[in-house]
Amino acid sequence: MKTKLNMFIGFLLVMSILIGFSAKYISVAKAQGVLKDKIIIGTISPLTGPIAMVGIPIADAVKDYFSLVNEQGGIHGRQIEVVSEDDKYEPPQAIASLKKLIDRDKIFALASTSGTPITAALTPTIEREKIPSMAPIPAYGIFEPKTPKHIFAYGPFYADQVIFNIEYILFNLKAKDPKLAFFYQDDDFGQDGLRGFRAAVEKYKLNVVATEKYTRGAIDISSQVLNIKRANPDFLIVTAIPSHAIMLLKEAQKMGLTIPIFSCANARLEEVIKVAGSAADIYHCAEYAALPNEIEIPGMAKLIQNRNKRNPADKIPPKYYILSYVNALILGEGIKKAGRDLTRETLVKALESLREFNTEGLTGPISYSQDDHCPMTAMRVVKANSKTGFYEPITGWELTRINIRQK
Amino acid sequence: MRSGDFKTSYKEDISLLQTTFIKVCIGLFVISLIGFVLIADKYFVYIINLSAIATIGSLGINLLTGFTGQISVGQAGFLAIGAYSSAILTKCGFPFLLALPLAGLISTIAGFLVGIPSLKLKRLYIAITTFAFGFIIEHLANSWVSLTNGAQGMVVSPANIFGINIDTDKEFFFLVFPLAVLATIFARNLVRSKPGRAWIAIRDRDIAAEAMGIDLYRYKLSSFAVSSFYAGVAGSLMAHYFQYIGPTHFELLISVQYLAMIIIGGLGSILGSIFGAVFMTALPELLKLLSDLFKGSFPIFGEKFADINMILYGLIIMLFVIIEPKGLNGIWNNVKVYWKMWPYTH
Amino acid sequence: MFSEEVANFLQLILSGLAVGSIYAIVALGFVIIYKATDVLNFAQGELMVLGAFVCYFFIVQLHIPIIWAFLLTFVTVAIIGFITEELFLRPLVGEPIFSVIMVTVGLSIFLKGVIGLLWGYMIKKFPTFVSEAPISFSGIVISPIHLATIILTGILIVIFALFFKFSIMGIAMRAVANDQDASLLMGISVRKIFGLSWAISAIVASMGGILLSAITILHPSLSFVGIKVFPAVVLGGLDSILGAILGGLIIGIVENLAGGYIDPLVGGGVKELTAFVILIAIMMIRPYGLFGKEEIERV
Repeated sequence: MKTKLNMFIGFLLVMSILIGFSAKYISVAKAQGVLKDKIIIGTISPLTGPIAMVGIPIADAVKDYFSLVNEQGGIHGRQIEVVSEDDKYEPPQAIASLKKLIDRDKIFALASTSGTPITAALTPTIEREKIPSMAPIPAYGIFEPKTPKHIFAYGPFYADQVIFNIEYILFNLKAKDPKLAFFYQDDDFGQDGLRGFRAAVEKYKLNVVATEKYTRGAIDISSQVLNIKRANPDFLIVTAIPSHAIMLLKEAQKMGLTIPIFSCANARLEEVIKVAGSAADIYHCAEYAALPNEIEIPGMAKLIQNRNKRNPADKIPPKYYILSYVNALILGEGIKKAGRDLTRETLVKALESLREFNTEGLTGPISYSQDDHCPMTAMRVVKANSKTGFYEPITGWELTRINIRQK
Repeated sequence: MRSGDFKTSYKEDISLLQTTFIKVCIGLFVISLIGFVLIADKYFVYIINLSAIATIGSLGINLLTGFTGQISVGQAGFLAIGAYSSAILTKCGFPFLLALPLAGLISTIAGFLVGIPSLKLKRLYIAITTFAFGFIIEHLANSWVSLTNGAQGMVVSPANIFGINIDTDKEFFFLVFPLAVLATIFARNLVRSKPGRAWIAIRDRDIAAEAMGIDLYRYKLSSFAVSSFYAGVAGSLMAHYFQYIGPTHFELLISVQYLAMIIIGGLGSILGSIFGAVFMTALPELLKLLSDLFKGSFPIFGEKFADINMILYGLIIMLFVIIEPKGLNGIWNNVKVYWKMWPYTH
Repeated sequence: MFSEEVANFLQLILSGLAVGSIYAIVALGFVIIYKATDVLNFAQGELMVLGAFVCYFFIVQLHIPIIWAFLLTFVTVAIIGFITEELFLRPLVGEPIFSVIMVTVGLSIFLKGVIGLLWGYMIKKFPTFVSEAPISFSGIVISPIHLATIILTGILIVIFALFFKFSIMGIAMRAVANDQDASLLMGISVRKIFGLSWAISAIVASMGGILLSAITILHPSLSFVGIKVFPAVVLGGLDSILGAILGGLIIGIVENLAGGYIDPLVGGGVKELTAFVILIAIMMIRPYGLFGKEEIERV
């Protein structure tokens, strides 16, 4: 009898401790992340795992940009605090990160929604909580057919980039009836490239001699390259991730496939040139941001100067750093335009009112509207130079001629 | 604790909750949980909801792997089938209350099919078969675009019960928690009755079990079937909670996580499944909260905290299994025994 | 010399041998551990990548000449493998095999975190140690690194065949794999054999990692190969060294042939499924693999 009583009391004690402890975490009032002197911004991106090579620069760029803004006095007297979360590129983790950022860190806006499948998983929560969010990657699946109310991005979809490459072949190289081959990754990213490829082929009545694909994680693409070689194309269009772009270049060089290869902007990494070496000399990319070696562009010079102040491990800003930096620029401009009376609604309205936003040369001008949260921005074709280890632009900034956007 | 505890009827003897003490404890627990959910942040409710869904899934796999000894590395596949079935059914106009059990049933059929080879194969080879199954399902989810929208994933409408949309975390709790409780009670009862005993016999010595008259075919298949039903239900709940599913939600990693749940929780224990599910769901979040606390004091680590989290996560899993192979349930039992004999424990 | 069709076929076989050799080496690491300790090492892929990064560290960050760097790498990973076994696996002797596998799962996450912490996630180039110029003859091309991989696989087959048949350590390992208790009675230190098997497996894994990184890129994502070789291991038989190697080679070749001949007909995607189709086929026809020993259950 006595033991039972003791146990009971012990249990009550434990329960009350738990409840008391949890009371510490209970928040009732909802601060929207805008305080008198502070604005809290969150980022979600993979900081571990293979995609961290994209996720870490994305988070760094946001932090660095707003550090600069803070040093220059903040926006309308408020300092910007950035909180970065690791989603490990897993959707449930990303959703947990977002809820944590909203509830515990009280963020006002989200400067990075991580990769495309993650952004898709976050969308229901973002829309329900009405959090203005910037997506680092312009993805067809997120922005069409319906424009998400609170998610913004900029740039061409992979389909647009493929079309741009093909139009370069047709109109700049003036190739007559070129034989095309297409190589892509077998998931939503590669399939978007395929969508653009098919649209261009249909519009321009082009001759396709080979279409090959590979699965993410494959360590060997030699049979695909062999098939492409056998079909004897004049140009190879590619929608692949950097690791497989590298494998493709090496394999092509080995097999003696020397035709020009055109890839999308996501694989326009300096690492591709570094690892592929001389095999990269036939490598071209459609790119919609400025290159890190273009220090004559004022925006790029400022970006590099700001970045170097924060002691990065290397002096060359990675591609996704540049893309995310522009997102931060856009977000900062939106906050500025919304004025001192800053709420989530005024921020969204301010962003949607941006017209021809000038990123000082980092990208083409960006214009939003209520209907369009991911405008196509100008691209260039850039070519890899294995001697310098950098890319060089070989066209001017342009849009695609055919527009397969639904807006 | 149990002294002076006499049963005077069969009903009392086989009741699920044996003593008043336990009944009171569980009652208090449920009340405090509900109270907590009502006043807490969405973030914490999210963790609780995820844990509840994971509990259903882990009960399923514990029945199959912990109780029947059939190692399954394909839980993600059954989850996927449940999730996609439910998503497609609701898209076609089925009400959620119907789609949920149907998704479970479709998953059950898959479970039957996967269970058939188990009759001929042993232990490790069942693991390999289920592993292949998981891979195939993931591949199908990716390629069968007309059904699943492929790699882009599917938007799923929120659970809709009698016209009310279950749209927030707190509302969802009141859907998933009763289901989890039901699942636990059902599993507990299964385990203490004839099927459960047959499964345990198959796990321990299947040749002897067969010799004693237990139909291996029937019980192995039923184990697969029940386990995949649970997984199907969990998958359906997941789909309607996240309101979006994609092939990336059902990779091998998920199957491995469920196995980790039952090993850390306690193989062959219902309570262990719950412990494991909660632990594995809450651990990454706990590490996040911990590292937030430390980020201030050790800014050097600031950049690399995510990697350190991963190291700790792996280390904790390893140490857990090494130190207490019987898992959290083993620790729980040890604690109970300690207090039972206190102050005469030795 | 060869007609285009024949050259094409031979090219596919040769490339298949090359990638199959990578599978074979990784599968070999798996099987060594399984054979000696009955453990399926989920962290094999991470061990492989760790070996590659350790070698990178010696060559690029410490500027040690290549041959010495290789040897240092083997010694380092052998020690890491041995210590891992002593620290994390030995306490679990006697526990259900399932728990042990879960420890290897935890180990794989742990190693992933360590590799990420020490070397980051940017794509790196593994320093070249063989010429990059492709060798071609009669219309068939192979790169020297691929050739090196195939040759290494052949050498490993011979080394391990000899090791297990004639050396004391090798015979001791076979004894332990066969019957732990009897081995203990015969005076074999089962402890040391367990540790040794992990050490050897780590060395083999690092060889695979170095070669794979040289062929493709140096990046933590390569650890995925650890899972990919599962079909090879099953095909060959979980406890057969020769089987692991042959299994890897066969899958590499069949994958490539499927990619070369069937993919163009169906629009692609068959190549990646090949390994799993083979896996399922083997499970149905001959679950113990080509060379595995059938488990006879004693009542």
